[in-house]
Amino acid sequence: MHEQNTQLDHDEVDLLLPWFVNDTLADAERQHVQRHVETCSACQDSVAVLQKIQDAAQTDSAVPMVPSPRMNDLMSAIAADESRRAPRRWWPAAAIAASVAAVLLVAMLVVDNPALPPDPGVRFETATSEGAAALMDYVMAVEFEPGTTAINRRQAFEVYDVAEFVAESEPDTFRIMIRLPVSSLEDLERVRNEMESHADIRSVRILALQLPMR
Amino acid sequence: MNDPVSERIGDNRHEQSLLARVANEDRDALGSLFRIYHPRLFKFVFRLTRSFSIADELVNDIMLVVWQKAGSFRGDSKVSTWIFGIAYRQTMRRVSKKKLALAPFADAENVAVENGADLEQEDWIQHGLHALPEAQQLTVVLVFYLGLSYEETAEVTDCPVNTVKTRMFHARKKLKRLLEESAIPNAYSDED
Repeated sequence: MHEQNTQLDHDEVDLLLPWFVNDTLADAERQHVQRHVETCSACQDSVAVLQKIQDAAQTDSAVPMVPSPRMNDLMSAIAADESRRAPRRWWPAAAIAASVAAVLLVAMLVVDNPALPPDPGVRFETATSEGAAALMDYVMAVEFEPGTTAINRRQAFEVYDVAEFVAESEPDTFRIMIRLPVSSLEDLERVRNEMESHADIRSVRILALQLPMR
Repeated sequence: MNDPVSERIGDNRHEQSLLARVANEDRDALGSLFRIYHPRLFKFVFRLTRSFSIADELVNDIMLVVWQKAGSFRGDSKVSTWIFGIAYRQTMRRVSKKKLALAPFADAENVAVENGADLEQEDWIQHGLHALPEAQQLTVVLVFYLGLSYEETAEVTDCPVNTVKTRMFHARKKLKRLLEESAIPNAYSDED
């Protein structure tokens, strides 16, 4: 029985010898193994060989000079991966073209053209007409300063109550939809300038307008 | 304490803080982690593949996965264990996809030695390791090159601790048998 216990102890210690040699055993285990090794010649021989294996592992001179990290390649891979993963929430190109046409139409209606006499038989409705919607949705491309962190980006969007944004193919540029109570093109321009004055925002381009459904 | 890697991976608390920032899409933090881990990852992958170009490419692939999965790190292991787990899986995936064999542990002729006796023993060790099955060879690399504990080795290879111990046990048995067949005196004595 005693011999059986001793053999069990030896077998248990033997399994742990590699980690005794690389010095990663917990204290209690290390002390138990140490006590056994001190009285077991077979384990002492095993430790000697394992140390040679460890030496060979650590002195492998066939590993060449390590190249510099290719940081730019990594960042490009991340940008490409994010573009691939971005959900396609936005309208297809035809719908965007229709929105742009709507912007032009609204612009034409808003601009006061004294050359055209008012036709008493036709009633025009503009963005600033009485009864027009108080808020309209604008699609914009927002370019951030390089190096703007994700946290600062979210904070900038929160100021304008923007919850969703999609990465564009240009670096640091995101497409957003923002609802604004603008009453004229000058007002819209004022909002755009205000957004561009934000410390982290480099430029804002208005891409399209969505007229709200009534 | 025996430090098997030229610079043991640093302060885990600092790395955890970097990884948390990476989870918030902080590219500067990813850059810092990349600089910390790049040399070790490159050497680890190169040892397994013996291809400079594959190692160079794989290291970037590994860091891309770190970027994608940073949010899933729960802090119940060291950052180094988590990252080398990714490295292990990415390397195995590339090796099996390209039908590469794991490379010999080292080319005997490239090993600088000081005397003939050292060359014989190191030569034996290297050829012996090359003859091991993949899983056993990897276990030896993880334990003796990266200096992982058995729990960390189990985590990196995603298998139970007893499996790790068993693989190492069989690796040692095979190395002993190879030595006996090569009849190199005094390199290994019989166990009881």
